[in-house]
Amino acid sequence: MIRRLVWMLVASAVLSAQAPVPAANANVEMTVYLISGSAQGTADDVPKDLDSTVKQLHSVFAYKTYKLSESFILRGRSGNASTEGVLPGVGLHYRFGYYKLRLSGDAPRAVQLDGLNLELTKPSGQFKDGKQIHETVAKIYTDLDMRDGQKTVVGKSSLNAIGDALILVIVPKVIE
Amino acid sequence: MKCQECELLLAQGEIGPEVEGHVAGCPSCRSLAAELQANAHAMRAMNEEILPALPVQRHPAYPWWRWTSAAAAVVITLGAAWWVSRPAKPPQIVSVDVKVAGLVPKAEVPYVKAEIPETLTPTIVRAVPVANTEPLKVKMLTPDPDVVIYWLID
Repeated sequence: MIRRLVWMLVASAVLSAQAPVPAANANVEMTVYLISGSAQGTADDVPKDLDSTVKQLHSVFAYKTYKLSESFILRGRSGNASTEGVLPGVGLHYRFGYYKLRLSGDAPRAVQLDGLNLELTKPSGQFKDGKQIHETVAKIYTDLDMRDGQKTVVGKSSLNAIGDALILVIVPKVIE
Repeated sequence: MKCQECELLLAQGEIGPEVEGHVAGCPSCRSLAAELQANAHAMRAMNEEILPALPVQRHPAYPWWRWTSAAAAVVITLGAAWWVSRPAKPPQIVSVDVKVAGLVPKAEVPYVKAEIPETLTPTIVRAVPVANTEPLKVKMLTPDPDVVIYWLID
């Protein structure tokens, strides 16, 4: 009986150590790149940091060029975080965020994002009180499991009518 | 009238003037008549007596099969309710090794005219409800261990 109880305690301790825990003390700094993939063009326009990522994208997809639209850093702990801005050149408004962030305890630490959300909108009119009406152009919504330092690509091919792709590259970095 | 005839008539309850006359003069038959009358009274009294109620065999208010039937009905109802209201399955993550050969520009897509056979007969097609509208998430493993690609398909 006692031996069984000890085994149960050991098993529960092992399981709880493996499960992702809320990021109580650590910060997570996420570098986010917004990239578009296009069937037109001749040369990529991405920073050096993304060379290896774009190389893999070329090996998987048939888009001819990849172009960086925006990049930003979002720092957060457990809980939600979000940021927003305007994509330069195209005038689209973006909003990026997540509902919950979790961190595993062991190295390499796993970063789990619940309710990752990227929404691109464009102004389509005005309300009577002067507030802008925004129409959603493209949206990415998913849960994501990442590894500390790993370049995680999330994309979909419905940015516009000609089939350009909306691609997110997220690089999480855990800061103790 | 002889005593024997009188006893017979008394036993049959046929008490006429002859019997009454004989009984008045015969102590033996008078004694018999009194005894028969007492017996008749006793019999009437027994008929009128309220007998105690017989003990009734009591059954339990709710037999075992009623409880088990009710429990089974509750379990089935809860199970059906859970089955109907269960959440849709989360999007399935599939790992595939994908190599896209190329994109076909819209202008190069061949135009094919649809041909509808003349013998087409109308059929009733059942509408199939779409259970899960979440996008399919495809995980693509690349040769570079530091790059993981998730592709969402609506």
